[in-house]
Amino acid sequence: MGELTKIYGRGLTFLFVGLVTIWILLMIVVPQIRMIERAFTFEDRGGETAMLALDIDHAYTEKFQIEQQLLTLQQQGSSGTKSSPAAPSPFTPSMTVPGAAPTAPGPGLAPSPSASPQNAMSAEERQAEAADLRSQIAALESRITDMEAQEDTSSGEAGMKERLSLDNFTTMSALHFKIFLMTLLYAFTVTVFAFVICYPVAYAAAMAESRNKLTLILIGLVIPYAINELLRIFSWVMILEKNGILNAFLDGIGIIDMSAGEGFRFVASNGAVFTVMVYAYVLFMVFPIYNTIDTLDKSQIEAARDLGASVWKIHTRVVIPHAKPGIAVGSIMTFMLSAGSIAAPEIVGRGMHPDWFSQLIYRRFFEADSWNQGSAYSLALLTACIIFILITMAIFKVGVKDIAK
Amino acid sequence: MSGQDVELTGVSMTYPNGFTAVQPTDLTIKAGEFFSILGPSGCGKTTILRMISGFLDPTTGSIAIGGEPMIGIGPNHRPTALIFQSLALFPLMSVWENVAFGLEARGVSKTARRKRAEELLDLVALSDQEDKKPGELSGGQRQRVAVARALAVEPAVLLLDEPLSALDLKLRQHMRAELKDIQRKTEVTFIYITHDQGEALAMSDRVAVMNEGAIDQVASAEDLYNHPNTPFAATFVGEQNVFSGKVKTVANGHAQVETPHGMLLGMNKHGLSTGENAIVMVRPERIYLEDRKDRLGPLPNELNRIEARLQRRDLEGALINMYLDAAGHSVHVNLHNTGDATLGAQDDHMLLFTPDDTVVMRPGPMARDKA
Amino acid sequence: MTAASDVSMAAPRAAARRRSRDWSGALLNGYLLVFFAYMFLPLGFMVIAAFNAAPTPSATDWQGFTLRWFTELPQDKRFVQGLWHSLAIAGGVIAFSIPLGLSGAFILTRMQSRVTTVLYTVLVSPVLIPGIVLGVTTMIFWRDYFGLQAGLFTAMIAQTSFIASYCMLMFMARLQRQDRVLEEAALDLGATPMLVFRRITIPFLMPTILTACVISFLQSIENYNTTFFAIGSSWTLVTEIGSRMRFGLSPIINAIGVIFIAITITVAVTHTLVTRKRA
Repeated sequence: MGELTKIYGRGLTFLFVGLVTIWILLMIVVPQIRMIERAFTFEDRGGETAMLALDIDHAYTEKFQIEQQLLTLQQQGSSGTKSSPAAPSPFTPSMTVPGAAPTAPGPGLAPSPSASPQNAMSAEERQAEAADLRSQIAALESRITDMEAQEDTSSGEAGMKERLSLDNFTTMSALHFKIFLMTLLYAFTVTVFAFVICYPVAYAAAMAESRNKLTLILIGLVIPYAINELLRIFSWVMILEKNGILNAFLDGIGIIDMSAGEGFRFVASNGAVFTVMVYAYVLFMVFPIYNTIDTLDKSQIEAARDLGASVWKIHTRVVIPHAKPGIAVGSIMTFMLSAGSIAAPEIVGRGMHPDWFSQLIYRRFFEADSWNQGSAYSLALLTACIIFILITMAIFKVGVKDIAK
Repeated sequence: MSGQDVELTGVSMTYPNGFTAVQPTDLTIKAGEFFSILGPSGCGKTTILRMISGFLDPTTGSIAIGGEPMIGIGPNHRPTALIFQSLALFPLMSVWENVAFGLEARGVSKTARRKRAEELLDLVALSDQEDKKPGELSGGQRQRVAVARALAVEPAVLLLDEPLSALDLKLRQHMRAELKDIQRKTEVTFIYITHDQGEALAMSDRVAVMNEGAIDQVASAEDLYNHPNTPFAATFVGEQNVFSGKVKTVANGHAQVETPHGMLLGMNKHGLSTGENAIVMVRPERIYLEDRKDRLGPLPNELNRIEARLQRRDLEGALINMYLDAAGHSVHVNLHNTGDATLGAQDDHMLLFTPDDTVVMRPGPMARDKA
Repeated sequence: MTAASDVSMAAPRAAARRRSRDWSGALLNGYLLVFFAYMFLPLGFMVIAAFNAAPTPSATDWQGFTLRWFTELPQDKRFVQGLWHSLAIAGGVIAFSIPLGLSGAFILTRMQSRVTTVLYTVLVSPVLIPGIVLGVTTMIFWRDYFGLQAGLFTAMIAQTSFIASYCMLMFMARLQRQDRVLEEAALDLGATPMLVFRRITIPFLMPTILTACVISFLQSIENYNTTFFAIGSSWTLVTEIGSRMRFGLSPIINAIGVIFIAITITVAVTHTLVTRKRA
């Protein structure tokens, strides 16, 4: 702090610290805490309080119905005393004194048969009935107050009791848990594939003898890297579609006959999602590895070669150890992007393939409307990624400062 | 422009990691003085400079400039200007903008700034380079821009942190003269940090020798060289042949020390008494060869004598460097090149030096690469 | 072993080594070709289909050249509206990310304390955690604490939370190469911290600030995963493309793809050539 004020003065230092504090609190830490809080808060949809909420709802409905009844009753009563001028009766064309014939049935006011027995009630009966209904309403009201008071002490949103528990995790179905594990496994496999595919490319770029070759390779890498993720995914959907390029190719070499309706449905399978992900995220591995190999003193490779080391030895003993931080960064990015990708499974899956954990998270939030469980799922994904980062850091013996460069 | 004095009272600096860079120090630098702080790297001299300029706050003690206490005042409010070792010219500004930056900070108008910058660039003989970028200048020119930039704020004290170290020898010698000249013209107090004794001795009115966070001795260049106060000052400034032994007798301001090379008599300024451990030092240029003793003029009654065998004889130009072996102890002798090719060329020598040129001190830390 | 036999042994060994190097070099070049084919062929198919008159995007079933899909594009209200949303979000992201990234970078590069490692970890964490988690947490946080429904604002905030980290990393890399003495020199000459900042620090950072603006803009426009969660019922160009893709393929998407690719190639090639010239 002292160093900062010395160079930037109090005003600017205050501004910097303030902005960073806002960033940390409003964009990083508190939102995460809120998610964790929600993840460990279980909304009890079938428990006692939920029942209570249901009872309250019932009571309200009942009260409403009785009130309607009461209203009808009162209308009938008043219609007995005030005949509606809008409904002149053909039988009493000369009726001019309203209220003169309180017991006379208003024919215009008997549109439904259900009303007719009440219509038959005398004023006294109606009043007794109304009093009864009123007492029922009062009873219901006091019950509602009671129940609401009870509810207020323990309720959360939508009347569902919230309590601190692990239930959001433990109630995860076996299917969901399996999808979670499969997602991580697929993400890990994407990472391994990406490394195998990228390492020679990164090595070739770092070893390029001429500037022109290097520029060409780098442009060739930057262009697909910079092109939107969705478009990279989309280009593969075109290939894997039932009437897509791959089937057209198979048709061309005579394996299938598309005109006869033959063709493989490649999309909407885990294999397709996997293939597309390798393509979409492979380049996140290239640049970090290239950057580290590039700093390797090329004469080390010459020296190793001169000492008779095999190609395999050169790579396992000289190049890869040097490229460790880059491999770690590339692996972390690739794994994180694959495990957390919503674009690839949604687009390749064509809405029919909910077998990726990110899709489950989406559904928890936007279809099941269960934010707490969605939070729990997100937290599970986040934890898996953090564990992956920690393991990678331990294996490659790199620190946080080496990772984000 | 005129200088002000700088006064350090009990100033020390201990870093948060526990390392003490400067021991409690008292030091007074007079107004208009060219003052050097000389010491090996890591001795704490740069720390002192940064405390005077305000980049570091001393752990203890106080600093006053022109009588005004400076503690708590930031570097931008002190009457000092610092010339950095790397010069720290602003690479994105032109030369004149660099020079005028201090005036810009003081809110001087652009035309006035430009005019003043031109005057200062005249002073340092760079008048036609004002629109270039620092990167386009040579090392010596950049040096001058740095000086002009520092002088533009009319400091009372100019602090220089080894500004010549990046230059080659010829240019360095030239810039020494130029700096001295500018100092004389402006009468600003110069505090000059260096590890190069040649620079310190050539330019300074007074020199402070610093070692391991403490100032060993403050003296004029002459005094420092001829009458060093500590084994470190004696060995860091110039060269010394050092012999160790025990004091045998003390008399008339002299002490006789018993060494493996026999008895050696020297000046006993530190008042050593009989039986004490002592070191005896004599400079290479104060040693004479016996076969040329006629050149000494009238000899004192007693002369120190050491037998030695020639190991190497190098001609350096004006001087001849002789490295001899005296009973396993190496001795360095400088001879003036008289043009006689046989001078000191034989194998065995008797080395002579007068007791007045010989210093007796208590043993203490010495400069490592010298001695 | 005599010197002569040593030499006679070494010559064939060197030759063999050279041969194996040529061989592995050719293999590597061959691999590069396959790799770039893998990278570019799918994109090529997509571009071809954008000019194909066939109503479902296809590179194989050629029904004649057309620009119809490009001309239909501006008439699609949701795409056009989505583009405006994207631009609005990107503008907000730049306006927030640059100051935040700068502040973080200044604090982390100028402060020496044990806290900085923790601070650094916190500030780069948004780069390392899945984008959908950022979207989810932003959505929850703003609704629970401020009653704000997910929309353009939350999408902008969610994007800023990680794009600011990228900016910070760029600024830190630049600041670490700065000669700190320059700021001290300016202070020593009597400059106020504000003037040092304006005349020394900001000019030094300016190229990086411009790069950071461009990268933030592209990151924001192209972001899907985070935005998808944080934007609620609103949409950006990219989330709209995403939802169209889910419900079936249309050559209009290919047309957008071609425009994206053209812009990307222009920017990438310009950038590479500019940095190359500078190097």
